[in-house]
Amino acid sequence: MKTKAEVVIIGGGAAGTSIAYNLAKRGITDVVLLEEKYVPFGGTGRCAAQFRLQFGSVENCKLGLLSVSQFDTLGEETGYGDLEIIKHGYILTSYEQESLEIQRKNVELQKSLGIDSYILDAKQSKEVVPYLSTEGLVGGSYCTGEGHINPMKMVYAYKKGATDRGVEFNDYTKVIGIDVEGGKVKAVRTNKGTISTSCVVCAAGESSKYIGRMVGVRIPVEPAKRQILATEPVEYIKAPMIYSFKHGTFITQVPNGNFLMGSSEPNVRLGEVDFTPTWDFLERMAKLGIEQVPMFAHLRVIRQWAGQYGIAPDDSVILGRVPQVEGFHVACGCTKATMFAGAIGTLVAEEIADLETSLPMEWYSIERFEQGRLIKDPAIL
Amino acid sequence: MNFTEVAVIGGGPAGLSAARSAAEAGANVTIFDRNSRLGGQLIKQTHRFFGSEKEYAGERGIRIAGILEEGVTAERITIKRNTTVLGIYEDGVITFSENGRYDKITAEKVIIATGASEKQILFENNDLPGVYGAGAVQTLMNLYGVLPGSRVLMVGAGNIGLIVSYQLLQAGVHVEAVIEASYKIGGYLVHASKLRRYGVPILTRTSIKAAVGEEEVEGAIISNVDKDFNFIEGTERQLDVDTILLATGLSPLNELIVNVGCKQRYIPELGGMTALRDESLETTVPGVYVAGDVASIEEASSAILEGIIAGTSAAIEMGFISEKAHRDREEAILRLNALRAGETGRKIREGMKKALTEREKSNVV
Repeated sequence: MKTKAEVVIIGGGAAGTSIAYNLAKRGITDVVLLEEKYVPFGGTGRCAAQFRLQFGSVENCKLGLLSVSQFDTLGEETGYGDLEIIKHGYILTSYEQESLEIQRKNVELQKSLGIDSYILDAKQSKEVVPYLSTEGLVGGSYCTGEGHINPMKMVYAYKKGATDRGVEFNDYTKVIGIDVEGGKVKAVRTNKGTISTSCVVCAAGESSKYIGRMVGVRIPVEPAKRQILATEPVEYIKAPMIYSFKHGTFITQVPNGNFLMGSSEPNVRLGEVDFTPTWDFLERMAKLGIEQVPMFAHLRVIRQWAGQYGIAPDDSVILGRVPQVEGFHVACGCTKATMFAGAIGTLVAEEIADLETSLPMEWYSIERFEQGRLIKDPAIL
Repeated sequence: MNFTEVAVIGGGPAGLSAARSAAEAGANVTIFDRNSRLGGQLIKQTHRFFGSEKEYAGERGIRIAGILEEGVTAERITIKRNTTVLGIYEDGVITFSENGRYDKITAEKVIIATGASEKQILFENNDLPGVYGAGAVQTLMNLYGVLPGSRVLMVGAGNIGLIVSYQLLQAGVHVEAVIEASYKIGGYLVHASKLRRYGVPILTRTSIKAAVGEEEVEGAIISNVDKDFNFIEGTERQLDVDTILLATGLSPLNELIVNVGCKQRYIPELGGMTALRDESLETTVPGVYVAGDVASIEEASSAILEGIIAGTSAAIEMGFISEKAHRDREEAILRLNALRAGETGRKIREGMKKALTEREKSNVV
């Protein structure tokens, strides 16, 4: 392992690997990435493999657009190859006129930003998702520019692109301290040695708060368990992800035919990283799934796993410089690191390289919490 | 929620004897088995067993399955056939699918006796139709009366490879050769001799390099290997076979052990990843026991004895204390040690040293 580097990235998920690649692409190749387990052990490797554009805030819509434009070329650009990108779209379902009105406003916003989304009634919804139950359904919003990406392949592509340009990746390397002198980052200490550096990026996802504490910065991201069920594979139909605010669930079919589904967890214990699956999720999710897609009653669940969300006060990403410590940057995807990986990597790399950033960094800055500028997005589960 | 005092997962030789022992001691027991017929791998074993009479020597496996099944007819035993245990969760809840219906249960003690699965080895085209596990073919033939093909290459000269090869001959299938990467035949020579009398070559220091064929197996390329199991160039030859059977060992079916969070260790002598346990076969998760092939890859006779040890130990721990339970437990421990004595048991004894939890090791010394 190097003992000196221009930039040290902590975390080998979508955010960290994308930053590594985007730095290297901009000529900053004296970079070391540290991963406590392996790439991608955490949220990225456990997510539902989707990216979307239908958000209810300018900040998130812009992040989505910037990311998707990167995904489109990433496989080729890095020489990795196919990333299984399938733009099957999302349908955000509504079961009340009132919530459909909110969606109508979101669609207006999305259209003004160049996102091609529109409102469907119940009958049209059924046309785009033939297996969706229309019982109680009022309609939904739909967009075809979003969909599936294989998150494993995505991080492997980033890793390949970065290591081909000279970035060093270290698995099973745990950060045990960060040295700060005179308000400036000096070194990162790990279980495998110390790396002198003046620039550290914390891309540690749900574990970011622990890294923040090492430099005396409170990163307001709490880990929270989320789980996914996978069914046996059946014939693949290119239908949109079903995203329901009423049920608090998402349901999607991945290209090899398995359905994945997950839900928000009202009673989950915040604050602890916990990968233990529970039977009550299995039962609850199965019921919520069958309610929306009745044919699930005939499908077997073959797997269940748990990952972590990183819950931020406004459920949105935290990116960029931290004012208290010079040379300390955060890149917390806050549950959306996979879908926003392209943008996270681009913006943080641009900032470190002192380039003009593609989007205003103050939108995503950690300072927004103190300054009361939260990202207000009504389209997040 | 449903409740049982002892949940026994797996109705093979270990599970059945565990269930019987725990029930005889006084516990209410539920056996879960994913098949419609109890007995595990015994039900396809049409050959006679060796060993001492107490471990049913001279009996055919299928008969032993019957004897063990008669032992679990007590009222205290509930048998759930066609029932797959899906998971054991953090809070102790066991989920299962019984005839396709989901349900759950909790138990005071859990005995995991899930057995083993056949090891797949790496070679080109090893996923072609016509490549089988040897044990799977034994099931096909002896249980369902289905032949796997007409010309067979057997990979592995352990007991399973030798016995299944002989049974193939009995069923009229041509066995082209038995190959073995090691320098010697692993199984009993009495089985090997039978094959040789039929003219079947047993080629040691030989392994499979590739399966040949587009849609299905049309041949096999074998090659000599050196003492480090590297292929020796120039020794490749193609055999005209339509079936390749792998008898290359078993590995413990340890999914539930992982699931329940038992501490594990990789112990090659016992077949791979396996749970640490104490002399009672209790794992590092209190109240969870292992018995049979899931604990260590051995013979059915050892599995039966391990079942008795786990079943009686669990019952005694629960307060079902009787002279008989203690006696059965002690006797099973002695008989198991006797089975593992001598040269043939050396490997298992070495493995057991690694598998015992620290507490037990200090007791042994």
